[in-house]
Amino acid sequence: MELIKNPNLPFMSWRKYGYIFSGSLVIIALFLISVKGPRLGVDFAGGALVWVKFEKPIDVGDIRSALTKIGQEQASIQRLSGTNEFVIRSVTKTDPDAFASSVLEQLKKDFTDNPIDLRAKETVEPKISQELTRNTIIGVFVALFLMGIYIWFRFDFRFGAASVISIFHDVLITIGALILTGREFTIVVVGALLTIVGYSINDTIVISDRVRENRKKVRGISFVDLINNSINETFSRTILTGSFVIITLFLLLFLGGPVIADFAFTLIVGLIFGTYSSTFVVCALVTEWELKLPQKKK
Amino acid sequence: MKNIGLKMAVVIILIVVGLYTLYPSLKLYTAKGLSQEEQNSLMKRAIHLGLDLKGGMHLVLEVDTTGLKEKPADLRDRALEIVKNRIDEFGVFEPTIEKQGSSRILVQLPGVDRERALNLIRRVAHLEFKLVSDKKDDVIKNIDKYLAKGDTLGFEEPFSSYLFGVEGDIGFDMRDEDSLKVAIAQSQSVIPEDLQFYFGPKEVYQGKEVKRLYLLKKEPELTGETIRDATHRPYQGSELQYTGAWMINLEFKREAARQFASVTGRNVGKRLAIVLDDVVQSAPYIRERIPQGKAVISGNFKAEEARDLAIVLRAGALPAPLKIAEERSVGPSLGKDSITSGIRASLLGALFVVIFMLVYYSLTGLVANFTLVLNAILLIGVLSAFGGTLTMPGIAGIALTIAMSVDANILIFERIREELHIGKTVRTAIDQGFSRAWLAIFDSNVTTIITGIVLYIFGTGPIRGFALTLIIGLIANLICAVFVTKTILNYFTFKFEVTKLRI
Repeated sequence: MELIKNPNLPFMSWRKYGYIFSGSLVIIALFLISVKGPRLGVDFAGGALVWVKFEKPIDVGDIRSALTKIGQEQASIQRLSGTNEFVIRSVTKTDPDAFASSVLEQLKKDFTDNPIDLRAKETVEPKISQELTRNTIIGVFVALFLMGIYIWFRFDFRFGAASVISIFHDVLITIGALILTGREFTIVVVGALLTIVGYSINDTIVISDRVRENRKKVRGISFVDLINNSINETFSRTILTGSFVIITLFLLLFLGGPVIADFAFTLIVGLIFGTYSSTFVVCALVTEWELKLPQKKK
Repeated sequence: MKNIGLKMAVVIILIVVGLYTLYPSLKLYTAKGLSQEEQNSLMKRAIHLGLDLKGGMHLVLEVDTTGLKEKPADLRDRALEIVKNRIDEFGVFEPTIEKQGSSRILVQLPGVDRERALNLIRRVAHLEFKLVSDKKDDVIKNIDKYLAKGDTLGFEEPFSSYLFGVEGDIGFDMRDEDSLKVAIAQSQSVIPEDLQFYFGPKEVYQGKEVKRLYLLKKEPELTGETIRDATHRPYQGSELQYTGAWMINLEFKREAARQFASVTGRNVGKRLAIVLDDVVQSAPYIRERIPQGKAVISGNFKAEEARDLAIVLRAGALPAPLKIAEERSVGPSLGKDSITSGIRASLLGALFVVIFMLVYYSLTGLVANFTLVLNAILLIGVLSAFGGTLTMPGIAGIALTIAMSVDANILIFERIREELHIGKTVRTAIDQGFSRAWLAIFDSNVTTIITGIVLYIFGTGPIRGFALTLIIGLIANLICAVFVTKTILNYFTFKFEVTKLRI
């Protein structure tokens, strides 16, 4: 079976639309990040999270009034839709352990006829969360730097630089989508973002590899044609792999349970843009660069 | 075809190694009715489940040095040793207790009763034996006098008005505890320097929550360091309030036993208070000299409490309190749900991939499916052999590995198709397809492995699980997708002299 044949599409002549699309999405994402900011999870913000499951249906109001008795009326209470499960988060960062213990104690005391099952509990002192934030930021930049170097070494400087730009593009837009859907920024989500970085580079490499090959093989065509041919020749693989991965991720999103859902969502958004950016950011920028400053033919 | 037989042999060895390393995990998690011994021996070679999948507690403890005058350099290591001893005695299966950074202790306990384990770990368990002072009445009188002078409301007995008799002791209502503490703090100048007030544990007396008040000598006669053994057993004494409760039998070391004998001998008729973490557990009368070096802590202990208390007394006191810097607990029910949904999603994903590859690439797809399965087996097998841990993000890592593996196969097959389209023979097309796709596969896997290594170095807990599966999986992928697929394809095209490839 062969569903997708070389489509011979003039991708590079559409790159202007790509700039407008990518540009506006990145601006929206930057706006969301600076105005609203990502909703940091307990990992990065510090504080406490208590996730409980009640045996019988219960009203959020009842939980709220139980928490009011211990002076925690400010705590955020989130119901996992369609369940008797609630995630309760502290507002203040000081002494998260005391918060979590007092909440659990109060819930057990107030709802003796509707016992709770502790699903999960996280308390993180601000000192620890600051360290984690620092390590994560260092980790992300080290990963980016190493990949940029690797691509520079394996391909050329222009592809390396454009890839790093496209990674920022993918990650920023994904963070924007996370803010827009009100999802929490946790260590697991950061793992997903780094995976996106890996996939986006992977996708870029497949096309760059074809450019590298065609450059040696095919002489006497324009740079724009060289890029277009390479994208078209790898197009069936791009679509096949892309849809494979995305379908698997949708399965994880809907069937993988709440723990994995945020991870899957982040990957889905990131992979769509990671695939898109290989063509419309990396190839487009390299083309732009070549048209402005042609490299000497070796 | 050079060496095709040899290459095929390598493929078969890979399959055997994969199955051999996978087998213990498979048996451990699917077979029913295994004996504890079998389970333990399988456990050593099987993949471990992370805390997020089987439920458990991840704790980062920090030694709280705020109340300490001196801070010895080995404070953390001493605390770690004691925590280790306590958990060993408590009997948790496969605990992790290790140093983290310069001042922290990492504790991971799978599937335990959270509250109870926390109590066990965090209890300082500082045990002291102190004589009860017989000057209590005088001291209380003096405090009354002292406070009355400064009392603007004109109470004559501002201190003793809080107090009342509780079964031969003096007690107070717990609602007055804070005021009482303030009064004691204000009156330090009239309390003799060698004496100190202590409280008893919370108890219910005539429908009120009360605590007893004791005046003890500051200097302990003996401390918990002198204890050789502590055991728990049902209460056997005659005091009615403890019937049905449990107690702890203490046995002193030889030197301490002599000391204990002389202390009890000198103080017959007086009371000796047993103080645990600054709370007076009981203060029995010394009826006679006790030469055997044995003592009893009675109190309203439940069996579990008494057992845990005996454990902490045996293991020794912590040099300083421990503060919880980080806790991540997953209840057993969530763990079970995560496994079920994670496995279901992964299997469905895998099924989808297998069917699609078969439909899209027909017989060649079958070869691809075979290498996909081999890739998964090798990944889990190698993880098991290294004693790796499977976490929820780890499952996601396996899914991602499979995706990369599918990508590699697609890259190769699409390339072979291209070569066939321009009229190459089957054998050349396969050869060219592999050699042309190889660079892209290698580069993309290596960059993702780089991400994996960085994640492993900078990540914590669950993320490291993800990174580890990704690294192992991608290395397996480089072997499977390229070497195994190619060898099998070559073998069959060579053997059956295929001239038309169904791809």
